[in-house]
Amino acid sequence: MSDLVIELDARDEVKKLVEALKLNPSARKITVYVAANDSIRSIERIREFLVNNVSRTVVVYAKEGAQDEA
Amino acid sequence: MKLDIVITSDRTMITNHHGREFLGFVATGPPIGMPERLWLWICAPKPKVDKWGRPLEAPYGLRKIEAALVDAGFNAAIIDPDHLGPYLRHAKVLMIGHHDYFAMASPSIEWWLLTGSEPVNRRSFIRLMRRPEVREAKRRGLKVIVGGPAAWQWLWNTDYWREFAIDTVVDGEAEKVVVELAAKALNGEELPLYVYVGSDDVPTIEEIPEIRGASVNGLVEIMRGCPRGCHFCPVTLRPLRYYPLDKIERELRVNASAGLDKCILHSEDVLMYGARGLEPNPDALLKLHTLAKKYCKTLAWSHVTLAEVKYAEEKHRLITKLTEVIYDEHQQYLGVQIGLETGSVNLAKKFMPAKAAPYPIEMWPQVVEDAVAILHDHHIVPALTLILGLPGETEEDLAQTAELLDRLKDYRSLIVPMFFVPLGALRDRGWFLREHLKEGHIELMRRCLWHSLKWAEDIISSFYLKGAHNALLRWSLKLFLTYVKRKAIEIEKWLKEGGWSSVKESVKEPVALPTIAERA
Repeated sequence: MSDLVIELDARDEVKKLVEALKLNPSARKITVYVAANDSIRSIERIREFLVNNVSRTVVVYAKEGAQDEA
Repeated sequence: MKLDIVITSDRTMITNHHGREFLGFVATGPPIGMPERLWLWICAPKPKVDKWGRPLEAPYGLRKIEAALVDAGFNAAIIDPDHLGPYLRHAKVLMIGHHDYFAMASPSIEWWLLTGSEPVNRRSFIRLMRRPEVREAKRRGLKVIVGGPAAWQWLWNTDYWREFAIDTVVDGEAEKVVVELAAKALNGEELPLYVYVGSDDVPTIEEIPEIRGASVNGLVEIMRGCPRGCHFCPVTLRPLRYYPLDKIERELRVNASAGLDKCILHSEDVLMYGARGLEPNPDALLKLHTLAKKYCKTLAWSHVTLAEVKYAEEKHRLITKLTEVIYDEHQQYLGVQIGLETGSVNLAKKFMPAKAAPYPIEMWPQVVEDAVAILHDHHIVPALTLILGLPGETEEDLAQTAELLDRLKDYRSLIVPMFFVPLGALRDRGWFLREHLKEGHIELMRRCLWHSLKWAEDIISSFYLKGAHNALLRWSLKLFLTYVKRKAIEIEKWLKEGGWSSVKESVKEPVALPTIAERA
């Protein structure tokens, strides 16, 4: 069992998250940092992942400095 | 009084539904045939509050959050939505919980899709968030944290997430995480946008706080989780935990000391309390009910499963024994909500293979009929829910469900069809929308309606709203039933003349349905 921390910028698709999880299948807690300047847009971008997750703890933070799309 | 953390919800949640929990379901519909104000009065009257605007009864989930925060030393309380103003001038955090923020759960979404009109729970919540005092507090830097069983709906309503400037959405059992979030908010630290509480992070029984104020209609939890593993149900994803009797008693005592003489035992299956596997535990159940009756003149069950009703009665005569404990000069019937889900053995095998256990799933229709007959004989009135639109459902599946409904027609019950909502292990599946409705669904809804109308009058007059003190409410509901019957006859005539396609065209599509609503 381990924690997985991943940072997503504006160009990253949800598959980056899925791929990271495939490499760490035992991760029980995932912390995701998304771009802060339009954080809800970032939530929309990873919604598919959030909706499909049923057992792991997921925490999403907005990260200052990460660039989101305009 | 000033609070650092205010906990609240909208009027459809902060109410005791006239002491009749089932009336809460009326808030899931749009106001039909009467002004919204009257509709709200029927389902969600203003509750009694103390001089500080704290409701004497509040939703159990909010009480748990309040208890977790107060136990951790925070200055927090539940405040009635009509008394928020003065508190929000000073509070640093507003926490909100809801069963159905945006009317996306069943049955709200179903009434919305069928009528094209927004249900009152959604209207009421949006009105709350647009109140000047909430907006003003938000401008001053108030942190807003939302959660509860409908937290998932924010993922589909990001426009409202933006508009209301929600800081954090918490999905899952929040008693542990909310303490951490409150500390961060009060210390000015960064809050997460979203938290999903996975199965490893749910509280243990010892970590679940005990309510400090009375819950709506005396609801007390007796266990969490469910071992049946139905794929459409989010509760089965949580570990199974039983409350010990002393913990239950302390919460019963809180409600009793607030003057409540009723309780609702809450579990996905009350008959599973203390069970070993799926084997009921008669001793634990009899002790639980004897304890509850010590504090409550009347009690209700939130949910049971039909298989457990049949098995418990056939093996242990347990329904008989429990009703002998429950029924007395104060109580002669018992209400409960039960998932019937489907009459199709194929769908049952696919999505709820353990639902009939210990009976084989092939026996599901017979289990349903036998259990409903047992309930009828024991004056237990079930509100049975059906799921329409399970993935892969065929006309044959619908026909089997219709056939089962015919077998239930002589048993006192309400049968409520609900559209499939992708939750639990089926969270990734497509939504069931109006355009997916087939003739078979319409026929099922028609049968459910007439079955429920037939029994509703009997239930209202003979059980649910007996006595002179309920006369006004009884009269309002009977008036509504008369209106529904008249409308149902009109709609049936319309269907015969033009078929379902004409109805489809005449109902407006709700604007806020999930954008990725196509069937998987």
